[in-house]
Amino acid sequence: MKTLEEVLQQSTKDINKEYIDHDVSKESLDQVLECLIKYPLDNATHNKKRLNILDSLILKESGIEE
Amino acid sequence: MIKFKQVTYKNWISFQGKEKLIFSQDPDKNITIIRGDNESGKTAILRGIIWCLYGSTKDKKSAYADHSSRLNYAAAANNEFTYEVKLMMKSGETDFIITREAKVPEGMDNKNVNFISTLTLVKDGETFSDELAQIEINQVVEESISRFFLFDGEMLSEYEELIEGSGGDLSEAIKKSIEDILRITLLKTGRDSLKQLWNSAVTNFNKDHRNSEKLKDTNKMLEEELRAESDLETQISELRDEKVSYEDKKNKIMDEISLKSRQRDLISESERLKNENDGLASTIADIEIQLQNEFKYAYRQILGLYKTSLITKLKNKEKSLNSKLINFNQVDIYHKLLKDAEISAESKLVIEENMPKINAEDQKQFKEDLYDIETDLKLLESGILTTDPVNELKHLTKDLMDNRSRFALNDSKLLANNDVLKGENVTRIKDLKNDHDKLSKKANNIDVLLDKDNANGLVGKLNSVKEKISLLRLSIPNTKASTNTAKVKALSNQYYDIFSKSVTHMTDSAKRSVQDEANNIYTELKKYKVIEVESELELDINDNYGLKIKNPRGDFLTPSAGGSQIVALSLITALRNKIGINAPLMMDTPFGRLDDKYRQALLEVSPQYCSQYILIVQPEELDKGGKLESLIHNKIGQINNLKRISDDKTEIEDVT
Repeated sequence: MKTLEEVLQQSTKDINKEYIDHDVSKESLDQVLECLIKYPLDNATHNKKRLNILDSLILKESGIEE
Repeated sequence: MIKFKQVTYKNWISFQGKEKLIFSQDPDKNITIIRGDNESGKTAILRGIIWCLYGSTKDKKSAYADHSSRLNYAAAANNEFTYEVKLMMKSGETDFIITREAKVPEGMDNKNVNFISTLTLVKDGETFSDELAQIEINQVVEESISRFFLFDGEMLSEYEELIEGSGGDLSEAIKKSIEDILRITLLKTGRDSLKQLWNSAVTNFNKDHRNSEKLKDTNKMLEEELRAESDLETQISELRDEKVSYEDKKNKIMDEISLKSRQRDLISESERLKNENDGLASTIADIEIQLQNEFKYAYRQILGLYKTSLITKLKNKEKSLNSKLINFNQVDIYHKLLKDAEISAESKLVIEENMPKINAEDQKQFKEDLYDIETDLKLLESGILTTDPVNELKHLTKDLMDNRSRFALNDSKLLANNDVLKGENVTRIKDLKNDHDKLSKKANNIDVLLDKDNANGLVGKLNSVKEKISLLRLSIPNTKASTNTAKVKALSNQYYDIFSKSVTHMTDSAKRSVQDEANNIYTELKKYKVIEVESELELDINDNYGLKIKNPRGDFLTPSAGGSQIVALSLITALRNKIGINAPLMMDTPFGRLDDKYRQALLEVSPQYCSQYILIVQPEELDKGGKLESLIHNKIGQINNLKRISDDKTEIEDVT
């Protein structure tokens, strides 16, 4: 059975082919995973923290924010 | 690898004082046998370990739901209001001593509310208390995975429910356990958060006047569908929560009904006594009538002893009455002559003077007397009166006495029951049952709304919206983003797709893997089936990780009770292997519905898949030198017998 990291890498490789603007990198994925591990719960605090971190990660990656 | 070393029970259910149970730690002899008769405390063994680890007994029937049912009765009678379970185990190289205790502080009553529970963990010499201790324990053996290594017959039946793959609460709970452990839940959390970001990005894209109007048209439709999807998901989630709250309330009601079991028993006893007394009253009335008849009969029978002289007397009497009646007949002739007009008045005077002087009343009485005498004579001469009436009278009188005393006894019990119940509990239990029924109806209504096959239900609508979203996404051209809102939309969509695809892959991979492993184990187990041609049946996994038996033609089969258990065991073992649990497998009375061959399969196959195999059985199921015991004799490292001393006391004997 594949590990979560292996599955994520394979999906990223497949999905990146479908998008012309940008390739999601392994480093970015690691940051997403780190955020999910740090805030895994389905409650108001964790949900908010997750959304904030992922939002700023996407803004940074799309070159909008430093 | 997790291994249990020993467990000590103090005033726990059947164990008064301290009783210690040792587990085999020898890897070559990893089987521990615990033998005990019914009511000797077998269930208490397993439930005690679960309570020690997690603070609840996970008992569906709520038999040990409260402190007073867990505290040993004899200890309570001695005013010892403390009970405790202490588990010593090893995880890898780390030693754990877990002690959970519940006690009533001094000077307080033995009431549930007065008990205080404490948890202490000593991990390699370092001490943790209560919440911190629980966190440490959960890191080693998380509660949700405990169902894969500690279970009894009741839990095994729950797995059979799972193999039906019904998607019920249990399926959901087990599915969640599996997905938590395989980190699929983590992926799903990421996917859902990224979806929210993508939704916002679509809204922002549509608000941005710099974006192409043509693109925005499709994106607006997408935005609407995404909003509808989000609303439906919220409603579905709320309904699921509502259903869970109904189920919780239903469980609490069942607990209360169960706690009122004494009253419930009294009510049903009273109903039974009332019905019995109705029947007894009618039987008593029947016997009284029979007795009256029997007394008459007996009287005649006694007369029958003087039969001959009586017949003679009666015949004489009959004769005398007949001659009297002849006289009456003559008088009738005289009367006719007196009425005759052709006879002269002088002659009539002579007749009147000479005719006998009798009255009609006497004639009537003579006729009745004659009828009685003739009837008695018939009875006496026919020989009907031959049975002994004394025995019959004795028998009937005894019957009457028995029935009357039983009636009186029932009546006094009824009065005593009524005193205890005083009416209010009857009403309360009826109310509770009504509430339970209402909650069941509400939960069923939710099930209808959540049924995926119901097109008008919420899940049906959600699936339809998802299809529209998928089509709309395909219709949006993949152009290079020129604005910031377009860039964010594209990237959040890309991340969402990555996580969404990963969830699908991970779930499929987990299911395939569990299915393959379950089939490997099932193949090993079904070799024990006594059939001439090798079985070609296979297990097929569904979305809820339930397993069904499939034949080579693709038909799904309904397994027998024993067959279900074998499938359930294949599933549990496969899940344990795939999840990576190397822990003890403790099974309480697992043999119930298995035949000898499958029992053999269980004993030979299961110990290979766990660090320790702990079997709690009836003595005759695995008796020393018996057929089954001899199969695993060389692998048994520890044998403990549960010795019942009294109603409230069981001792654990090490008989290895």
